[in-house]
Amino acid sequence: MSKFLRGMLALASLILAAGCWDRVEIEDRGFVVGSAIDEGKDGAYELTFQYIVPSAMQGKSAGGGHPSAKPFQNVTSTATTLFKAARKMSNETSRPPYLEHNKIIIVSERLARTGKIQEVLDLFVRDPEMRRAAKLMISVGQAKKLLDIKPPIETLPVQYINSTSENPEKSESIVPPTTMGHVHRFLLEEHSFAIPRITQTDGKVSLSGAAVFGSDKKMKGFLDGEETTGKNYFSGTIKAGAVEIEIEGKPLLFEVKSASRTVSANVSDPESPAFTVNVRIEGNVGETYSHVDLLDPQVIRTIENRVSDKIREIMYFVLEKLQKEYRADAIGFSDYLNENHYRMWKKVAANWDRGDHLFSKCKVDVQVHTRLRIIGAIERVQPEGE
Amino acid sequence: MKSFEYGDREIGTTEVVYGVSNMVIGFGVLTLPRSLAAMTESSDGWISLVLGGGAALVFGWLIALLCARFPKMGLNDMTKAIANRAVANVVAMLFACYTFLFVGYETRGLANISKLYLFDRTPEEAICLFFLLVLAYGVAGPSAALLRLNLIFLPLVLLIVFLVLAMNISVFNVHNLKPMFVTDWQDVLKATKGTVFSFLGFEIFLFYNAWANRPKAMKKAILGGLAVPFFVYLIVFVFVIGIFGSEVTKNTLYPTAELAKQVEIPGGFFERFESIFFTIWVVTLFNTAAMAFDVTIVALRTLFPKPRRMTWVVWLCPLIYLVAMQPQSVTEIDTFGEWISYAGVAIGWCLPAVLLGVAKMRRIKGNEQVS
Repeated sequence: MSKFLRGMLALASLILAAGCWDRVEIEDRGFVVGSAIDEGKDGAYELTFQYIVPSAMQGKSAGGGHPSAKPFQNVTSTATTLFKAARKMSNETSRPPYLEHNKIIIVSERLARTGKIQEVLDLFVRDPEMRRAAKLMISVGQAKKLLDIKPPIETLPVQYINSTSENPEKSESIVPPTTMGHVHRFLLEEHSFAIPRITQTDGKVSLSGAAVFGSDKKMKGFLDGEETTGKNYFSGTIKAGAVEIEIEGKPLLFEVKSASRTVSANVSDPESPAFTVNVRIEGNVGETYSHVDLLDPQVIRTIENRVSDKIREIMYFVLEKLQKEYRADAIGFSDYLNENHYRMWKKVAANWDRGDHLFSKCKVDVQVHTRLRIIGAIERVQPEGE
Repeated sequence: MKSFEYGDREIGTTEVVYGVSNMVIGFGVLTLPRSLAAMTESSDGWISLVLGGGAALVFGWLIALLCARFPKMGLNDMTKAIANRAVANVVAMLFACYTFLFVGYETRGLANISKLYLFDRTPEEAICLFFLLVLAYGVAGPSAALLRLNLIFLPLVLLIVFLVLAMNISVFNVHNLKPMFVTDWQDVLKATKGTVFSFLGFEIFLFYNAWANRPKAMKKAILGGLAVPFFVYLIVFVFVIGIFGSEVTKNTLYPTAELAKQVEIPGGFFERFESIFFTIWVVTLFNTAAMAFDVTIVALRTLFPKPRRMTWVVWLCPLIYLVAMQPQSVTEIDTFGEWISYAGVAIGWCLPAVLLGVAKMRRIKGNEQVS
């Protein structure tokens, strides 16, 4: 081969080096940050994607772009499968959807109640472009309306919802964020579970509350804020909380600083195991309008007991609801049995919260132990005996 | 084509340790957690892993004994010394076929995973082609150069694996590992088969033994090299189960890749951590495939010494491409891999063990002066 030919061959190979089959310019990607799924007509799905509008995102401070434009765009499309619906969107938007940054998925209550959650989930864990870490929530009413909220602090509705869902650190009535990965697991294990509920009131969202799913994958119903608190005490997912009690007819707020729970079970009769749930709570007095002497050990004991009673009451209330009304073990007893009483669990697993519904019949003893550590920086705000 | 000739073509102990680790770590880390979880209950797969690793260590030890017995000799010369020329040629041919198919499998597997996670629209044919071109470049030089490459790549691979695990520590749930010791022992043994397969690869050092400069240290080097993948597999398996739980692991094609995918670091850029993970992954698969390719050529050259190395590269590449293109779907690729693994255990592990036995019985030893 002549030197010239060799040189040309080497140069020609450079063409290959510069190629990229899968190149998509960042300007051509429609970044989807959140999705909502509603029921359409005749069993079809109504899929809504929230796209970010990059020019409007930066426009606010820099003065460029379209200052008046919304920083996001919601596109809805209907089809019998979600994939088809997503494809149809390419007909309506200038940029095809790109889902690597999809943070939240909101599913409407109606879909969840008819057991469609597993169909909805399939695409979101099957497609390698999707992330298992996307959070799943159940909306009261229409899901796509939640993506239209005008967020007061954040730029995007999805950012607003996403940040709010991270608040279990400060609120006891939010279920910890549940990702697609978690739900995938619950479905595979035929497990009852609870995931965050999202509601909209006057342009605000609220994530307090939970949607409870039975082992048949159908949503059984919602838990309100207080019931979710009880559920969280059962699951041991309480990070912080507040309990209001009355002392001498005036309110006192007990701030929960840490809570832990341990479960034990007596499985001598596999058909009706008896559970003992021990909850230990530590905290301090957050606020009080009463005149009691908070330095008196007797008073402290009274407060501790009342807090324990109150929490026990909340827990029994939600337990009753889960056992009798929803018949769904969303508080992790089945996990406990699987982990610690494997052989017994294998026998009853098929009849736990389906079949014979052993969960609904099992006895549960709840014990709460509260320790009041700090009464705050002051003793009282008004003079004694007033 | 003239290439730069290195003065020193010898392989040191470090090269063997790194080479063995890099050769063994391949697809195993990506697929092993799933096959283990599918066959065992809960987190009991680690028992199978320990058993499989133990079997690999035993064969590693036997192969090292054979290497130490015949210093400065490749498998071909060893077999010639133990049996005769004809047997040696058959063994070399079998070995060449095995490693040849192995390269085809690795190429296809790599293309398959990259297509799923990285290149949505690039055809697998194209990915295979480019990978093969790089492979051809890699094996064009002497074997020692290829082995030295491992010294750079292995630390990178280990770093990225541990980074992925470290970033997932926050979602690790110890409860997922419970209950323990609940799997039937027969299932544990069945699952061991798969773990044994994931330790295949180090047998190629039977050929590289010809250049190893310290045959006495071979035992330590091979066993040390096997210990690295052993611990990597164990830690990755425990983490995957601890993070996803047994059921999800069972139902995810490449659990370790999903682990990399769900890493979330505030700051945007690292939201797609898996792209870095896969880039590094391609590097280790390149090394595994390149070493197997290199051994194919080394084995073939002992049979036909006439043609030059480049000639073999040029002729083998299209054949490998054809082999890589044969499986039509994920299941077919898996079956292909399984058959190659059976061949590997037979040709790469059992055969040398038999040779060692014969050598011991006939009291045949290699040149004692070299050490």
